[in-house]
Amino acid sequence: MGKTKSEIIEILVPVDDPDLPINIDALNFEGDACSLATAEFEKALGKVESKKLKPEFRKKKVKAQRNIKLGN
Amino acid sequence: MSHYTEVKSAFNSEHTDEMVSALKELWPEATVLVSEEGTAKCRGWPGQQPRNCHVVVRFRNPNIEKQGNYDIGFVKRADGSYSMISDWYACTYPEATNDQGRTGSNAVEGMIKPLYTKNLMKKTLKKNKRLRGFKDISKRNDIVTKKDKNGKNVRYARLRYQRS
Repeated sequence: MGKTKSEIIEILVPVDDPDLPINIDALNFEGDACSLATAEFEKALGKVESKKLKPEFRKKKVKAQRNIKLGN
Repeated sequence: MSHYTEVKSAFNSEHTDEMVSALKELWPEATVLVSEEGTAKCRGWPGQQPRNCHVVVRFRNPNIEKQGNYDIGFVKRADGSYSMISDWYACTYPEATNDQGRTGSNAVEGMIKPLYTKNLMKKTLKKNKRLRGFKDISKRNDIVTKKDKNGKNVRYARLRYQRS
């Protein structure tokens, strides 16, 4: 069995247009663990404008990725 | 004629400390005034009255109140957010110019926002048990470019957090 990859949260902050949303990506999480982790970041950053759940999110016990865009 | 313009921003008064830290980190040579009462003066074009603000960044001659120095101010709004105020047309110091040579409120907010967000994340990681073990692995000035839905290039500052 392969080694589990590190969980990574990546935040992209637009630098030229403040009206664009901030993006949050959660990488290498299992199941809905990413929701729990990113929820705290979302709370701090502002309201969620849209959420894109990557296909892996719907599978049980698999590596999941999640992408969230936050408005101002 | 030059004049003050007030614009809304993504900064929130719940996170004033994080905003002030970001301002000090971005502009270590500047003087940052903080006034709970909102009476810090944001200076601008001579002949106009300075504006009262809760936070003011002074780039030049911080100890004199004379107009003709161009500051950037932050005013708390009723909804808790900060608006940014300056004589944006005249506030064109090199410090207030971004890496693309742009000045004005969008450029300045874009310079502050990655540092503000990083400070917010630091606070969030510290406060939250669920996030225990995450380390900030962001690189300094890590800018990535992505295409938006119209094919236009959009630049982002990238912050990364890792838990093994």
